[in-house]
Amino acid sequence: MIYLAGAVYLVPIIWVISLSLRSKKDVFSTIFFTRELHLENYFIAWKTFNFNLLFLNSCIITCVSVVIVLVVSSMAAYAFSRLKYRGSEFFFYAILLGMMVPPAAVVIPLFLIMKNLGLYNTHSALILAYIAFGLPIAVLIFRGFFLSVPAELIEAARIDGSSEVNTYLKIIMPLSTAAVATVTIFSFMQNWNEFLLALILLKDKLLYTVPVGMANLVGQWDSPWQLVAAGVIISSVPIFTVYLLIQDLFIKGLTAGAVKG
Amino acid sequence: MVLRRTARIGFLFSLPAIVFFILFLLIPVLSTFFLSFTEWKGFDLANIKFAGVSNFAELIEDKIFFISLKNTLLFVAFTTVALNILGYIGAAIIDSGRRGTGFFKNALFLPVLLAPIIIGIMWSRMLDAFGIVNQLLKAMEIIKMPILFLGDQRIALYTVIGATIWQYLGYDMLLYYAGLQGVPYELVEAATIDGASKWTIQLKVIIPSLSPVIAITMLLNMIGGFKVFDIVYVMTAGGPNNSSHVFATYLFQQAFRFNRMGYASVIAIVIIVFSFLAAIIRLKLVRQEE
Amino acid sequence: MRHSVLKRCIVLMVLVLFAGFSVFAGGSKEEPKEQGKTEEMAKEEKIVIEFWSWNNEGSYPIVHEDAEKRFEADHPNVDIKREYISYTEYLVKLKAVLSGEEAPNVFQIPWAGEYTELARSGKLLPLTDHLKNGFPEFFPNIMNAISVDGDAWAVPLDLNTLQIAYNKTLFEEMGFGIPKSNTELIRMAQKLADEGKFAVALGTKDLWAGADVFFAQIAYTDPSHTKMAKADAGEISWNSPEFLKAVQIVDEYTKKGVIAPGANSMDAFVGAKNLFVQQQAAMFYPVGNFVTGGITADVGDSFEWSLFPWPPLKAGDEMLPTGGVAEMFVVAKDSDNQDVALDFLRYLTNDAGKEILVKNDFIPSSDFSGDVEMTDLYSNMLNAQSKSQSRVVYNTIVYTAVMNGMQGIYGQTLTPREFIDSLVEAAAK
Repeated sequence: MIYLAGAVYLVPIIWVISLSLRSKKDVFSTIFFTRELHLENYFIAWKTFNFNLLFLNSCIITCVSVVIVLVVSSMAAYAFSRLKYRGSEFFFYAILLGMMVPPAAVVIPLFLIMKNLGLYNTHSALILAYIAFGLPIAVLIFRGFFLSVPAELIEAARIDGSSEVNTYLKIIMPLSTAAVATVTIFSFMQNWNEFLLALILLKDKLLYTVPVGMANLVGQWDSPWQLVAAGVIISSVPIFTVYLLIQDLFIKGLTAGAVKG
Repeated sequence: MVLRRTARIGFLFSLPAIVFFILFLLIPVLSTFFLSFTEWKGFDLANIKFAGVSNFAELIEDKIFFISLKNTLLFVAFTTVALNILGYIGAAIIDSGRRGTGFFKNALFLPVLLAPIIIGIMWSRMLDAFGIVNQLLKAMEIIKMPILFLGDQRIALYTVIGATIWQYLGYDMLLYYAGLQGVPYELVEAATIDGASKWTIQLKVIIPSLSPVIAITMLLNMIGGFKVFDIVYVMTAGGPNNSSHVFATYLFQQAFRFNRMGYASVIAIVIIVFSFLAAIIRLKLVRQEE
Repeated sequence: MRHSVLKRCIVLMVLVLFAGFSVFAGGSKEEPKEQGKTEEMAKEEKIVIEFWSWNNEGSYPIVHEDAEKRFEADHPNVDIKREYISYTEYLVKLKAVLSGEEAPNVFQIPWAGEYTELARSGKLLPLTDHLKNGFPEFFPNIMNAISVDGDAWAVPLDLNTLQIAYNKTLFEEMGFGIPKSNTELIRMAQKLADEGKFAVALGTKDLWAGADVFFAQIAYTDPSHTKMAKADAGEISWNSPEFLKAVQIVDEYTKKGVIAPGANSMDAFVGAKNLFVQQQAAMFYPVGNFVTGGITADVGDSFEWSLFPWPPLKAGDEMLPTGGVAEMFVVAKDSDNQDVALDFLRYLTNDAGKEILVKNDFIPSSDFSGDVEMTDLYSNMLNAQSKSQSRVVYNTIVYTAVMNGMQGIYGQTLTPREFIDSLVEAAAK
């Protein structure tokens, strides 16, 4: 029964898969699946959209930004939760405000900043922007998680003469694999699918990420929908795989206080 | 002695994050704030003209802005409520551990992982006047003429809301599921022993202990709702006839179609202010409870 | 335990699959060219000319590529970089690069709004003098269309007209001829409805197609063909009987089922086109040479089709389509190598360029006297071109009001009078 409910929920996605297996002329006439399954659409889509390049770019940008977000946000969250100092609460809430900024609103100022830094049309521009936009929720999750780590543990380490950096590296982080998983999924999701900033900050076709590369070929008159559908499926596989790999950790991270905010 | 040292290290630890925030979030937002007092076409830097509060004055008279205001509030309200209630029900189902719940969990989370653009294109094609949904409805003889899900001004917005709920249900569901893992089992046990019915347990024991989860989930939903852009843009672009504009799409239209960056910046400020208010209200409510 | 083994299997499978794809499917054809070029560029200083367009489908890229090949053959030290960006994102990206002074050397520009504003912004190179030097003589009404404040700012490449495509086979079955008046079209729609078919498929989700129906009627309601330009310039009010009559006609078309329902939820060239191709609608608008290729490909042999303009007010009146410039290109003012850029535009518009245009069913913007076989469709469009009326409103705010208002008409939430009022209001801004 529950299997059925899940399957029904996924009908739109199944429909996209069926769309990706049709021939061009059947795109609008068939309801679901035709007798022939055009698997070659996937090859054609891969080549037409140039997924080799798109995946490479998206991978670089997403992975680098996620790794940096993990480092920067966990450090900051540790500071905001256990290394409090005057003004730390203020900075925490300030960074949290970052969540409320709609990318559409700051796209042009951001573009100008990147231009002035000489980073326009580079991967770095996008990486830096993604880090900034990904920090708020990452800091939130890590901080919630760290707050649930027993204070005695940290105290014990301090008494033992461990430096703060050491405590952070050797004690706190190993305990936080779950939070790491959670932040990884959230950031990965956000960055892999991001469209507007990637569109504006990258000029060169060779640098495009997956969303932008695909949008480019969905032209005005005559989109090859079966190829677009195949492209959609292809581009969703990596992120779904990452999710499958760490979903248990992910939920543990959400559970263990990360959600408590 | 120790305190001061940790304080200094704390500051250093949080410095990178703060720098990122200032450079790539704060400064752009301040620029937007500054731009809202100007008139600027958006493509010639030399021509930014100071315009005082005229943009704000115009906003108050702008009929379409108020449509977008109404729509954004409706969007936030409907999505937040639906996602939370349905998400909780979903979480309860997964938690029961029956057969198929693993599949169910992954199935519902899959849409969350997809780009909103994709979701928008998917649903637009399916809800076309001659798309699959209408085809099925016609085949089942429920309707004679196709329902114009995205073409009828009265329901376009709700169609988009529906697609958004479909996408993010898994998200809230996982958040609640995680929260449910954190509910102390002893409480539930005690209540069961005391003879409380399943419903009472849900209402009186589980949900109250989930209140921090509810609070943050609602907050995340609301903030996301005020910011929403991609999916509305792809499905209706604010149409037909401006009936489904939300803040962000109206901002986009003003900035990039009408070349009115100054005016668009005002709308941007409005989004930030609304989200901020929502966060503060939620904070107050949580404080009250405690 | 079992679950994690399953998971590892899936992940492994995915990795293998992806590896396979990247090796066998490979990249797009452009990759080696780029790599080769980058190496060359490292060796000698090559001049790079960036060229932007949004017409990345159909035959336009063929035309552009042909010009690129001819140009690079004659100018080995120049590298033309063509970029195609889909229309909705095109304007966003263009504005960003213009503000950051990273504009491409040559780029395509739409007429309404953007063009006039850009021309007046000083970001474009004025071309009035350059056009007299080495360029063909463009048709006079086209020169008018591209002038802003007395100067020319763009190079028009080709022209198109908008007409109604109709299913000839179906027309014969129903005993229809080409409708010669509004009333005849309405009667046809009613007869078609009796047979469970729609009349004219129209997709107005992206707004512009809906506005064009309005302009098509103005071609008839304003016999002087000057009022629209005057209203656009602010010389007369939009609250004139000609415009009211035009929108009333569209309103009546909508009410009487001439326009297929669901216009507002269909985009012009997917949903609406398919109604026509699947023979659920007997007609389809707007059709010009930008989509005739696509229709031919989709229709194949299933039925015969051709084009006619919207019918006039009275039977016997001349039938007039609307149309104008299709692709037009501007040169960024603060770009380098402007003379090279202009030269490239000369190659696009010279005789060789015109020949390739005609071969691909496009209509050059200047006289073409070469010998090319013309299909019936092409002759039809060429003929229409000589009679076409304007479909341009330069005032962005008014143009947007027209587009949005028309959606209101198709959705029957706006009356013709309210529509006109909204135009007057927009013009006042």
